Amino acid sequence: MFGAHHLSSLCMHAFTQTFYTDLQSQVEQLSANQVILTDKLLDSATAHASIEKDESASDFVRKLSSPSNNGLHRRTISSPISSSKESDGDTLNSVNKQRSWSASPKNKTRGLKSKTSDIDNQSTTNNNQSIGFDNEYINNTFPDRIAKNSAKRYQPPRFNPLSIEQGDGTLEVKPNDHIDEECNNIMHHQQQDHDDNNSSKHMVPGWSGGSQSSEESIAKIFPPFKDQIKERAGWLIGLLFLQSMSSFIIQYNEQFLADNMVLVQFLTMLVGAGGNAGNQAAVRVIRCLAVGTLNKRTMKFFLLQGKWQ
Amino acid sequence: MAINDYELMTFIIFFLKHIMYVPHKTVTETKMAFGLSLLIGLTAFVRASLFRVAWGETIAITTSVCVIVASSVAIGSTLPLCMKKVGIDPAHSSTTIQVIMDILGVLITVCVSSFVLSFKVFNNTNTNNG
Repeated sequence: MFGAHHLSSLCMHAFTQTFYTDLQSQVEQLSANQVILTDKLLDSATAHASIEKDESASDFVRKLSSPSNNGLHRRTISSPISSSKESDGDTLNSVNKQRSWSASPKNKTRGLKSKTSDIDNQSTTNNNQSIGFDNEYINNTFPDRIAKNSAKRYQPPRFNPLSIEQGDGTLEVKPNDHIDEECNNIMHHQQQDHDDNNSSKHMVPGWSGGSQSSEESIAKIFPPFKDQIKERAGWLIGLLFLQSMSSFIIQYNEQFLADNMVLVQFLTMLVGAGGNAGNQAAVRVIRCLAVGTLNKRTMKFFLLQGKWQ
Repeated sequence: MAINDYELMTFIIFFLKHIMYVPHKTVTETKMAFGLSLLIGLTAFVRASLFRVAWGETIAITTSVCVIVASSVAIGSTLPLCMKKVGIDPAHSSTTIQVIMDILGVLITVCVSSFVLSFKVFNNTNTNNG
């Protein structure tokens, strides 16, 4: 067999290439969602390193796990709420229980670095220490070099939405009096983002962020009879003229249809099937657009099947 | 150094799997269009053959139904997006697609059935029906 050896080597090359591209796309999605590290990635990396002892494979995984490649920059931000988990109550402990995926069940915060800061001093913190795993803990638990590197980079994500990032990498947390105001601000910004994303002149007519009065918004949702009938009748009349153009096609092929009268009997079925199928697909897309599930972020996924993004 | 046929077949199957690989929970409208066209064509074939329509017309109807449904799903899924991009209200796209597919359906039916019935195999049935 001529060239079989070359073919087999080429096949193996393509095999590894496709595997790595899958892994890379996975990591890119994770970094896009700002999830720093998950169990799945770590497991896959360790499993891959244990199965294949290839040099290029380990280099590739190390390149993936390096912080400069994927924009996973190490954050040295620490907030007093996230650091004072021992004294702050049960909710933070429950959160830590979910996040400390490799800590032992006996001591929940054994591997995590514990910091001491007063709760009373809630205004600012100048600690630049990182919350993560200790080096000793990492060296004891993880046998693999790649797993060690990725565990060093792991940091529990901050879960205080009201904290404000300062210039020097610290967080400022406002006292409890301003929580309602902050919540209102966040809601307002979210609504503005929604309006910007949808650019919704046509999609959601009454959705204007509450700045208008109720009568105006109701008039936008349910317009008066005159305005409605102008738009709707205009569309229907135009479509009627467009649809009547099919008579010219039938007129042009009159002899053929007269020869085969069975086709004329089945013509309504054929035309109706096409109209129904197109209507179904269009209405599904319109619903996705109106609800907001099909936006700028998911458009590529919808059009290109999520494969070549 | 040469590889077996078995190994070559395994490589080929692996490649085909990777080419056909589609992640879960995705909307694949092209795939959906082909699947729907096949199913509706099958039902049209069954209906036409049950009521003893001539074979030439049966085949013409099934092929035209397949083409019509595939094209209508393809157009219907992209038309609202295009209308939104242009600036027209996408709520009118369902009626628009209906009208477009009425015209295109007549056109496709005439073209496809004239192509299918032009074969000499179906000449007998033509004369019987006409």
